[in-house]
Amino acid sequence: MSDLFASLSSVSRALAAQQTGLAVAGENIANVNTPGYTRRTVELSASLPLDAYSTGNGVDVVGIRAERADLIEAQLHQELPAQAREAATADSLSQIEALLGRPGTSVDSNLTKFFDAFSQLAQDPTSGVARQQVTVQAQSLTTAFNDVATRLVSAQQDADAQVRDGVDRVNTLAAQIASLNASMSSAGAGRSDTLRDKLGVALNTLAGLIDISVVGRPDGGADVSVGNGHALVIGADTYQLATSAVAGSGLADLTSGGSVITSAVTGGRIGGLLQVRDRLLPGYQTRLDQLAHTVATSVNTAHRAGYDLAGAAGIDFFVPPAAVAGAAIAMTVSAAIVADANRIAAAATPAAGDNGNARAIANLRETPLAGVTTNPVDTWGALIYRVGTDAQAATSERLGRDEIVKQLQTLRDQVAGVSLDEEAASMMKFQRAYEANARYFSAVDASLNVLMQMLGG
Amino acid sequence: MRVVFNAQFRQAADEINRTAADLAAAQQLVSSGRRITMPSDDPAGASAAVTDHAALGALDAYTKTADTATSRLTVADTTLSDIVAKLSAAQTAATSARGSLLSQSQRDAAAANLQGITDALFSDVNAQFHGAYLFSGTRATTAPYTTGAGGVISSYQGDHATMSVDLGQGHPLQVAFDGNAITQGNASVDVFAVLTNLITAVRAGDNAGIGQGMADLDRAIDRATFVQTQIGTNLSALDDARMRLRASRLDVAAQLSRTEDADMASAITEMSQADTAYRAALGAFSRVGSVSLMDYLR
Repeated sequence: MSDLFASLSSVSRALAAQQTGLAVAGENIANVNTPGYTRRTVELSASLPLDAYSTGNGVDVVGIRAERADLIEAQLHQELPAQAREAATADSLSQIEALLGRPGTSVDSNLTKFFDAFSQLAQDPTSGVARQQVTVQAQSLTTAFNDVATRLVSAQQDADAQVRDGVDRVNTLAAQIASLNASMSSAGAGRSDTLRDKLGVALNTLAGLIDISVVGRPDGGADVSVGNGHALVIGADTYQLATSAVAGSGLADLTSGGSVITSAVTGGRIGGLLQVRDRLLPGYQTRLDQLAHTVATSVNTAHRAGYDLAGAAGIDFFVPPAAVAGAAIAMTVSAAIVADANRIAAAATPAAGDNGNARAIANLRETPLAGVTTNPVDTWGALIYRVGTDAQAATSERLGRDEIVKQLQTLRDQVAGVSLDEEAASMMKFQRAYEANARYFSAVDASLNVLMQMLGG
Repeated sequence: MRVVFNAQFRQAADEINRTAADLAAAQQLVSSGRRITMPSDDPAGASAAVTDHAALGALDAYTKTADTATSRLTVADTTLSDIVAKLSAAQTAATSARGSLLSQSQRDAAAANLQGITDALFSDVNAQFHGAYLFSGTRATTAPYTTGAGGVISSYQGDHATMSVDLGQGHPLQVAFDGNAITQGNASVDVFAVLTNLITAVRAGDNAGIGQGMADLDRAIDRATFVQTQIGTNLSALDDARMRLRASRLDVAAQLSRTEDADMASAITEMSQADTAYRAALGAFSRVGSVSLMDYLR
């Protein structure tokens, strides 16, 4: 049995429900550009009639729902670290490529000029100018080796500084996530959705820095661990990452709760930088050192076999490298040779005019080096090839990863993003419904008026 | 499928970035003319370019060696021609002094002529190139012959080694000579002693001595001519070597250009394609979100 007064209360609830719908559309439009915002929808449901003889009791707002794409978000947490790793690797490698120099303008050209100088000396073994030229070119060669080696070291230090910086940002984000978790447990449903949006942004940023695994909490929060299950955030608690200096190199090791997790970090920007710092750059340094070491030792061996202008036995041309490691950065021409170019052993016999040894050293340019089996310039070419393929691989891998992330983002937005057309339609829908309900209200009001007049009559 | 505002903008902006990067790369290719600016552009090409640059360097060094060797051998050749001419002149002078009808003053004149020839020969054998003696073996800083008190010419001061330079891997070429092989060879005395004996014989009218001296001079001419022939062979080998080096240089340079240089026609085509793609992306962006249902609701 419906009555007019019950109708009045039901229609006022209906007006409020349409207003809520309008407000939700307004909220969605307001946040159309907010990062991490998930679109809200209002859930309406018809109220149960008061008794068996009523038609109904209007409408109720059951809730406001955030349209989350949780599965896609979880996939993003896995893909973002890989994308960021490749991006960081590709960026670092493109800088390293640049510092190695173009073919024909770097260490390779210095090697060619160095051997050219010996070939010039072979034409005129007693010429002071030719001898001076050998010294000058040898010094340019050692400077070129020193420079490239120094640049590789500073590239490594640069990557290290960025790793340390990344660790700071990870800790900041961890603290942010923990405080979101804390607020989440005490927040009501409406606030909790906004907090979850913020949490989503923080998790995605974190996934760009380091590979994480995320376990959702019942209240909507998230527990995060890094590097093979070392906790970073559990509820409102954070377990911050720290760095410790690696013995010898002084580079940063990542630690969590005192244990070193560097090798377990393989993703994110930090993972990419670690790969460059610990695997790629040391590989290039070793190749460069090998080249410098074998050039210095084979030239020394050949030089010692000859005789200088005064007929004395040859001395070491380069300061003999102590070890393969660090040979490039330490490469120097012997002080005695720099001081007196006549000490250069051009002759294979004690006769001043002989050029046998200068020819032998000039011919080293086409002689396979001990241990690397290619000639000096081709050994440099092999290093260039290696850096080039690494950079090329990182760049193409990055493109592939970018594509995956873009597609996941598009999929997520299809579920969670705000469509202005949709919101316009929904605005109109609720506005019209409000108008109609208001009309009904005035109809009920008019009916009551009729009743009142009769009574008052 | 729901099309959402943000994703539309993001995709359009990504597209602009991508096409702008392509255009920048195409423009760089055209403006630099280089196919490889970074090793990653073509790792194999970059490492081949390293090898080719070095090969060009080596070929240039060998060419420089060939040029210097040519100058040096030309000087040696000229000097040897001169030596042969001097030795022939000495024979002529000795011939004129032979016979019993000459007066002492005629013999003295012939002897003086021979002495002049000896002095000229002495300076020929001591010829230098860029400060290095050509005919003292590998003792480039030691004169092959010196004069002592009273103009007495010393014995050979050089060594019997020869010196070569490389015109390529395994292409040695001899450029310095054992002077003694020219002046003495297998003979018991050197050409200066021969001339000294000849002068004595001419002064004394010793026809047998003059005859002996002339025979010795014959052998000296043979030895000088032999070395000169060797030098001639070497000079023509140098010509061949220079041609070979020039041809190799052209080959390597062409190969390097194929590796390093952009194909301009296709680079420019690519650039205009990239330009079109970029403009299209910009145009597409301007349309994103320009119309929505909002425009139709009043």
